Amino acid sequence: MTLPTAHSRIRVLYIDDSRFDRELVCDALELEAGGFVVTEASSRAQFEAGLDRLQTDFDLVLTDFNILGFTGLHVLHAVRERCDELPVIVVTGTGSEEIAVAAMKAGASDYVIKTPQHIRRLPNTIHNVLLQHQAVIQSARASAEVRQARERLELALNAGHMGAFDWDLGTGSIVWSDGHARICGMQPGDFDGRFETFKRLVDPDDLPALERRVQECLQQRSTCEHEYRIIWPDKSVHWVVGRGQFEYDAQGNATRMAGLIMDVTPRREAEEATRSLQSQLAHVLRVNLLSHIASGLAHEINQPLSAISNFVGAALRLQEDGRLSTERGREILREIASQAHRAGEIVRRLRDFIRGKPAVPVPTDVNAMISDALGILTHELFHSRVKATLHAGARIPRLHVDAVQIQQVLVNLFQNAIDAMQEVPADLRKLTINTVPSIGQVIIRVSDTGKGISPENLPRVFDSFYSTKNHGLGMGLNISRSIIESHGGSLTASNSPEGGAVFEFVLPIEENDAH
Amino acid sequence: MTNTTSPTSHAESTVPAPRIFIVDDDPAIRKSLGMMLQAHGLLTSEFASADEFLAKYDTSQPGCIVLDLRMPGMTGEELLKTLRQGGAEIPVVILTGHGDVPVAVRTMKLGIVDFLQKPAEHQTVIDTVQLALRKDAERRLEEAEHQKLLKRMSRLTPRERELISMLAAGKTSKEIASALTVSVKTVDNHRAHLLAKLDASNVAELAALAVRAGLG
Repeated sequence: MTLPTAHSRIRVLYIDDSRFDRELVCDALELEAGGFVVTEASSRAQFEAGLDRLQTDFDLVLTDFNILGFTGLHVLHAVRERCDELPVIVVTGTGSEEIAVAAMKAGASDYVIKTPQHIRRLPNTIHNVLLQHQAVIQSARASAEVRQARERLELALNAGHMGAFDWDLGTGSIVWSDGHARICGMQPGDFDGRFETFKRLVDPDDLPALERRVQECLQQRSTCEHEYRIIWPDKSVHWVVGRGQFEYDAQGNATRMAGLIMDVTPRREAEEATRSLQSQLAHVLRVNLLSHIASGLAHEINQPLSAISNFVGAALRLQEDGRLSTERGREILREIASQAHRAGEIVRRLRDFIRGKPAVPVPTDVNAMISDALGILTHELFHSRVKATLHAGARIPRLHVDAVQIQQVLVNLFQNAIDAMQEVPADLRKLTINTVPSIGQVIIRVSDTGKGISPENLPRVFDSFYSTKNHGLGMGLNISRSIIESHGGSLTASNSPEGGAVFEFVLPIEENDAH
Repeated sequence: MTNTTSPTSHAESTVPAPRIFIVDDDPAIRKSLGMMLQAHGLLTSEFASADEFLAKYDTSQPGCIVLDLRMPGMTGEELLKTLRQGGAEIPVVILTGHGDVPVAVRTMKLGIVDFLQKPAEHQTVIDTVQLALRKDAERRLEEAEHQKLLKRMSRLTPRERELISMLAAGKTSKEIASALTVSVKTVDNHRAHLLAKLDASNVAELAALAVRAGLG
């Protein structure tokens, strides 16, 4: 429907079976020069014949109430069926409250009694109805747009597994979008809007940190983002990220916090699965690495075993000859114990290295870990004629790390360095490890004196399945970088100005990492 | 030399008592092996590296080497090669935790007594070391005999040397007399004199000595 303007005439469909009344009404309307175009219908048949054109040809319907064969209510229903927004004014000679109420309920815009004075005012009435109607339509459209916008937002939020909240700090009440309720395991509308109710949904382990974070953001006027767990009524655990911002009044008091929460459980689960896969892969690579150095380790163990066998041989012979003094016997036993311990240490290193399941990070001495990793490679270093030196930095705090995984990184880097130096003369093969304490982190630098990494290979050394070695799987550095990154650190490769490759990784010092 | 033992029982002997040279970078191996061999009445000297051994080795000292392969600096195999190239024939027993087939083959070709893998039965070590010492003793005895022979040969006159090579070649007194334009009697006199000088009972023995001394 096109709304009438000041310049166009108002098109009226008028249904009345009384010719006399029609003339009266038409006269009244025609007094408004050029104001109205009236189409008359004197019967039900005439009215129904024009129904199809209602929407396009008329701005308003004027109808008598008592028409031969039907009533103004029929007209109202017929109009509403086809054209919801077309205003209908009922004019009637038989004014009764019942009819008026029925007509208004059926959607009449006004109800005019056929008295000369009312009919005279009819043009005015029509203008008023149209103006009101216009206002109503505009408001309805506006609210429809608001509703659609809200629906679109809700759809978008749902699509992103998100929900919105609006927390009025004045009244303390919180409004949630439907999606927010669903993310919290509730039916839309079930949330009572109280912060206490929300707090009961948060995993008790995560609540103190969440509240601390909100307080921080309130004071610092920063955007608040926090990841925490929601426990649904069915006890299932769901990870969410909440993100919100406070609004402040002129006095600087926070009045409101609005924001979003997002269900990140699938992401968390994927991360968990990735971590698990990565840990399995790391184990496979560790075993792979181990098979490479196993014979060297077996040789290592043979040394103390051999010494023990010799000491026993000496003791047996001395004892047979009656020459084994108590003092001598004790000395030999001490030697045997020491060698047994030495063999045990080799086995311990081996076992620590091969252990499959990820360990709980414990405070670990980085320099001792490096010595152990060099110990594992003793045979390799000797066989390849590489001289290894550890320059241990002073006052390095113990770090919270998974020692098995970090040692795997070390062994991998050392093995790479050993391999890289096979093309240079034996007396130039030097593996140097520096541990350097820094602000908030420890730097571990592994340098070799090989030919370095060619510029075209440098960006690719951490890629999966990229290897310059014939026997290489191309996963060692890739998994090493993942391991370091999962510890909150980083692993980088470069070439030393003196030649040779430098692999450097940093591990963060946690607040509770003790000196 | 980190440790040397010398029981007094051997001190009066003119020939030094045999000694086992332990060359191994692992102090525990040196100490335990030394202690075990000493318990079996043997003398030992211990060296932490091949270089240390070479710096102190005296070829006149009887004995054998118990040699590790894996050592910093010169390896056991390199030490063995160096000794053989320098003409030192001291018996060597390889005792290693790092052996493989190729190195075993290479060292066997260089004439070692045995190639033992750590940890070896201590009795096996003792038996092998004893065998090595016997080989060294035999070798030194032969060497001494040879030296003695060469010394005796060096006392012969040029004419006697000429005669002995002819005798060794199986020539008769008559043939020799004719070749040297002397009488048969003169040849016989010389021959009797030679037998006495070289402490040989007949011409066959004399011929054998001549061959061993390189005059055959």
